[in-house]
Amino acid sequence: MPLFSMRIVWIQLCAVFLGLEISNVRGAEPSASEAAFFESKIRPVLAEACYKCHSAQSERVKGGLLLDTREGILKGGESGPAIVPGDPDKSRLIVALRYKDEQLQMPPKDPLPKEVVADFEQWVKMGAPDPRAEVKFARAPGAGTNHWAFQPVKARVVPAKIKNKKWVKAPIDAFILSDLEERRIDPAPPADKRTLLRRATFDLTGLPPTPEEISAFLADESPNAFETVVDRLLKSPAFGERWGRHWLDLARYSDSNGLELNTPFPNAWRYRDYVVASFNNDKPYDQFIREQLAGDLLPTTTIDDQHEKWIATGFLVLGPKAFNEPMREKLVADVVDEQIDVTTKAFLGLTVACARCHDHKFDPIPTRDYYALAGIFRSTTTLNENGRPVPGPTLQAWTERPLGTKEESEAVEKFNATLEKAQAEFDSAFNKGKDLPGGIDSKELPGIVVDNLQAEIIGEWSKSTYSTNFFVDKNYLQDGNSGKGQKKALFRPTIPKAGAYQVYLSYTPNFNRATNVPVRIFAGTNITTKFLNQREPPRENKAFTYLGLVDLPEGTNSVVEISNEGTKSGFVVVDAVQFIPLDKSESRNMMAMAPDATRKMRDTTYAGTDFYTMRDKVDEIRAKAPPPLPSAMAVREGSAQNARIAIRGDVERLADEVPRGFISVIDRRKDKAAAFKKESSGRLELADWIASPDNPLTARVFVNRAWQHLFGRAIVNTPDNFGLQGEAPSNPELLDYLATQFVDEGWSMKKLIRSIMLSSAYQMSAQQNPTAFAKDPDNKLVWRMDRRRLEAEAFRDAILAVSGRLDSVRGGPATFTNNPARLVMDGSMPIPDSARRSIYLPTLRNGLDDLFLVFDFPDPHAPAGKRHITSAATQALYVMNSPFVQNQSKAWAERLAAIPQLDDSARIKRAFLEAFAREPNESELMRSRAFLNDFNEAAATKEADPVARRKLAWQSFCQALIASAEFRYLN
Amino acid sequence: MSRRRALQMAGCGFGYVALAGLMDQLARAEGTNPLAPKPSQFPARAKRVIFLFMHGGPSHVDTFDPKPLLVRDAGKPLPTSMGGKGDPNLKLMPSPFEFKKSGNSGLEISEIFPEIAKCADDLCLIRSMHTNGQDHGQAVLKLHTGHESQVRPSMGSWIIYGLGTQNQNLPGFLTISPSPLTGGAQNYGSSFLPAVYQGTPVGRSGISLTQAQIKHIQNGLLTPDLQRRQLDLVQDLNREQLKQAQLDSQLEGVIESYELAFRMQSEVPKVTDLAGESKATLDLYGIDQGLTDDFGRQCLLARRFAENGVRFIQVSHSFKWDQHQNLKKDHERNAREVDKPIAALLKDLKSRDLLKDTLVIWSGEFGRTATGQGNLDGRDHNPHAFTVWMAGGGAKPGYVHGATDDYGSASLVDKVHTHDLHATILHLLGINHEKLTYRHAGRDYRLTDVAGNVVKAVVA
Repeated sequence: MPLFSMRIVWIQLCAVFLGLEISNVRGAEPSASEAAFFESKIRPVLAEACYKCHSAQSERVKGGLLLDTREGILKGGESGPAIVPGDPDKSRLIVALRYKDEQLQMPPKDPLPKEVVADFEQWVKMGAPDPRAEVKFARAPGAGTNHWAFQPVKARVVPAKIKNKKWVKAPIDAFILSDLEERRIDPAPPADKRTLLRRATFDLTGLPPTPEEISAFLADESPNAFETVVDRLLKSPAFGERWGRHWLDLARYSDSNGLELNTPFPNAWRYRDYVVASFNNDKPYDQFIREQLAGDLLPTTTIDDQHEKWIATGFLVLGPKAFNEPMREKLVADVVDEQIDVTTKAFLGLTVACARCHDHKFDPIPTRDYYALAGIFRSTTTLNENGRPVPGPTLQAWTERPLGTKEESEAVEKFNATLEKAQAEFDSAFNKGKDLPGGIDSKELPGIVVDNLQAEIIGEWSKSTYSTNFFVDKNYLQDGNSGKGQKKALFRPTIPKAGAYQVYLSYTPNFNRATNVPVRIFAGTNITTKFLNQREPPRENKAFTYLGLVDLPEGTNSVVEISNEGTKSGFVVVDAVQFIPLDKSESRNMMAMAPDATRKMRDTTYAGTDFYTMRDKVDEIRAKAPPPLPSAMAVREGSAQNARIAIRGDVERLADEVPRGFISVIDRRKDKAAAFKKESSGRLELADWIASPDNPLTARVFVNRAWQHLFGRAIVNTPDNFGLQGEAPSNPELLDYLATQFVDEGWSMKKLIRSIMLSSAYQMSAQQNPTAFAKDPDNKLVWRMDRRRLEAEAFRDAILAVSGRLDSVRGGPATFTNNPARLVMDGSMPIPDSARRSIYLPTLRNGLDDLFLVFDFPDPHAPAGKRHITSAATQALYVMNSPFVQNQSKAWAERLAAIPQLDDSARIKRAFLEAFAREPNESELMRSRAFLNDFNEAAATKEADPVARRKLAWQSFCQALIASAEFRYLN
Repeated sequence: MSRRRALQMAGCGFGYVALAGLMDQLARAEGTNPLAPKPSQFPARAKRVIFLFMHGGPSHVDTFDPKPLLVRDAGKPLPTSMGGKGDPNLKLMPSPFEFKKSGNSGLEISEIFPEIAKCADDLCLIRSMHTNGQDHGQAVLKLHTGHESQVRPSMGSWIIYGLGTQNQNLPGFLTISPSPLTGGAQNYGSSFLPAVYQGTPVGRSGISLTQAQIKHIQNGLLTPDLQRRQLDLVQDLNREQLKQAQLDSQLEGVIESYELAFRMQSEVPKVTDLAGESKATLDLYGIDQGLTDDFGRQCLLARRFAENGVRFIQVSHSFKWDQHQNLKKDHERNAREVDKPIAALLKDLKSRDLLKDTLVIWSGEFGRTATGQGNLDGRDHNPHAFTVWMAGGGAKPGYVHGATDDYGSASLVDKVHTHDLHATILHLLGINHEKLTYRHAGRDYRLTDVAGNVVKAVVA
């Protein structure tokens, strides 16, 4: 079995490189008789009496102790090692079995027979020989496969032995109450209606309830009043904006690439809108998964349906990419790695990307599994042809799909093919001229040529020959991307005869260039200014761009000035300017390359080709370009291939090829190699496998996330990691119940959310209970509702809601500044002064708005299923001093002032209602009135005008409400 | 006392009121303020760091790593044994600058740093640095975050995560005039560490330091008295909430954050205002002296922050050192901009007895090639060799560690990787780099990833 032995070699290599601890606890292997002793006397007892609570299969591992592996016994649990080989008296396991220590007695109900205990004592004396330790590596193949999360979801019986039956509104409650009653904890009383409405409205829409909604709910005394509210909110389009945003965290959604080349993703928003719409339409979750991983491979009905499914695959394209990586192969491997990471974390709650360089250190995920998945993504095209940024406004280097009708798309494809062919012919001919210095000799150009060598240079420019593009004569100049506004180059021709001249300018394009280079033509008293984008290739023939036809006076009074003023967007280069008198120009007026110059090239290198004809053809084709189509970030099928293992992740050191496949520990298919067709990537198969009811993780992971968004704390409180390092579920029966119900109800996200919210558990108050707190301080068992902080988006949206400025426009492109290409060189960009919901602001990697930065918005470079919650001075500074909060406070105060016939108290009450969904209590009302009066008095020196002073007082009051903890917390 | 233990005690008959008091105490002790100073793991040599970042990649062979053989062999190709690929266009290029032995230690330093050379006896040169990343972006991220292509917390974030900060009225991690290029905010970001550990920028490159400030530090609308009144209302509302909640460390945290912010906004302008500095000090730093003005202000500000208990301060000389051509002129000019201010910083720290526990680090993202470029007046990027120097904070003074090969084309003797530099910096701060970890996405992360060895030889 050569393949098998290769694998062993590979693992050993890996172990050597990584210094994996080799579990050689006991010098020698157990002898045959020792092994027999263990197998006959010890293992059966462990299995029967202990594994229920102390094995990877245990529903709940007690005391952190695992007895089903040798490592587990030696490592022990929370209280220390279970055995000390050779010393029964010091072995806690033996002490427990002996039943003499009152604090330590196992098994819990009755002691084991004396003979059995004696066997164990003898076994420990023997040095605890354990044939299960035959494996040479800490993580033997197979170790950890018993982990609870890798076992199928079990259908759970709703607990019936409940005392407080009245509390049980939904099966969920029975699961929770059963745990609480076991621990003798009383659930918190129900929340009052205002608190509940505020909670539900934020949870489902990310916005506060309006005063009208509050009165309607208070007035509705029917038993299903809350149900009515939940159904109303689930139908609101704001629901998709709220829950879609949760998903975007996992999809590491961003409107720019990030890393060191932070180019914008101008079409990312289509994926964002797709996600919002999917939640609003209650798209079945299994379908949602299939579309994001393999939408392009699913059957479609209409062209719109097709487009939606392409857009969905933007999920795979949105990752950050190291476009500057010099090694193409590494770039590809990194893109694949990122796709594996986001796919396995978001859908499966697994950290598979850990297995890129070595077998997963904690989970039974061998490197082979990683490369089995890598094959699928390698067979998928995510980067454009050369994986290098294409010069242009956005440096696009990823795959997009045009969103036209069939006819429109075909026209574009046909056009592209024709253009590419003609361009390639021209390029190959033209490129032969590169042996010339700079490719172009000024002496052989027609008209008057002023090269940078003759130009008048102001400020510090550097000579360069760095560019691989054509330039005139020996070199060109660059401004070092510094001293902006201080550098100029003046090209002053000697015009022999006044008249009309065509002016051409040559420069070497590159992606680091400025996009707005001012070029001024001084022709006598006439001045014209143009702006040049030097990232774009010159329009005429790879060297020259046409500036226009200009009347020039005789002599030296004409100047073409190129400056670097206002060119923060990048380097400015200058090379040469050419002036061709109109009457002398050829029929091809636009052609700056002279017959003389090209003749030489033609004579020497292009014998037999027609240079002009090729050029004309390109121009003609280009002139007939169909209008550009909208497009979406989307993947395509590539050439199907298997990946080879990269030793330690090094793409230059390749080992075995691995057939494409899934994650073996949870792969329950009978024939694991059969599913992949030779001609397809396997993405569709992967999507089907993940979106299957049989996958033990998919449904569990999603219901756990939904729970987290509604309770603050997830059942598995490491929502992106269900592996061995993840937290154990606080209520495994409940988790499985929810997962089963979710699948049974057609993977409906709305039904799941609804059923959770209609439980007593969700509707509890956040009231403190010292007894319960002492027993369960983290509220793992859910004896009350946790107080939760609003996310940055909900906080901002709530501020806009109370100020009355919230812009209700939904969807569409993220608002960039005029020139999105700025991002690339500037690295950051001010968020436009927009009042749209936060989900519609551009999410920029390395360029998050301050509010998002300080309020724990997750770094959008990587998927994040759980956000940090920190309290920091920077948050307080933002709320106290940022123009955003100040302006919105002002708007809110003005809106309150405009409500007719309210006195101060009524206005204060209204403000409290809008901010907190409740009225102030007596002391708060008095305190607020006192603040307004005192402030008004104290501000007299600052603001003499009593009207303005009063406005300032109200603005400060409104800001104080926004600043208060209650505004940004849910009770 | 652990929280668990406290709760056990509380469960054994402590009254509820006592429990509340206890929890309150614990919440404070346990990190309502995650930036509270934390003890180092072992006695620290440095209490704070000033990181002078020379963005662009200064040429080591023209600054701190003299290579006389470049003069002898000028014009020859780089030998294949040193990675030369036989390209006849790549010719060894001698430094256009003289090197002089400086101080009692006799460290050889380029003539373009006459003032820094006077501090030679305080410097610890590491001439055997190497890193990953052929391009700026990668190498800059490697230096700042320990990873060249994946997003990781920055060095300053790790340090304040590990040690907290001394002065709660100032941010713990400040970066003066950071560049938005080559990773931008990632270079002072906290990535998966909580946001409270991210660096706070003071201005940004391209903005004169006279106009740079920390965002949202000033109100602009209310007088301090009026703002205090407003804040009192906020805090009364918060306390009303807390009263109803009975126990809530999050609410406590909010209340505390406002008091901290209020103090910070009065403290920061005092620290950033250079008006109180003497003429002699301003002159020492080259302030109001043309070329040195801006970097002089940065360095002086760094000293003021250091003096006031900021844990990690970065000063950036942004993206000026990338001389593919015009090396002689531009390196000279760059050096003129920073030489006097840096020397002033060292002297000033020393005279205030701060240098002994302030670790000053000078570094670019990589070095440059031994072979010339740009008409033999420029050099290309070189991640295989560069020089970093440290001063103060337990770094061995007047000392040279490691060496590059004959031409400075690659690190050769006692090689020090960026990971090793990070490990050493943490070591000087009293932190075992292998034990400063954060659990994220299923595993423990460190600044040094899975690498890094402390360079004991550079520890005084």
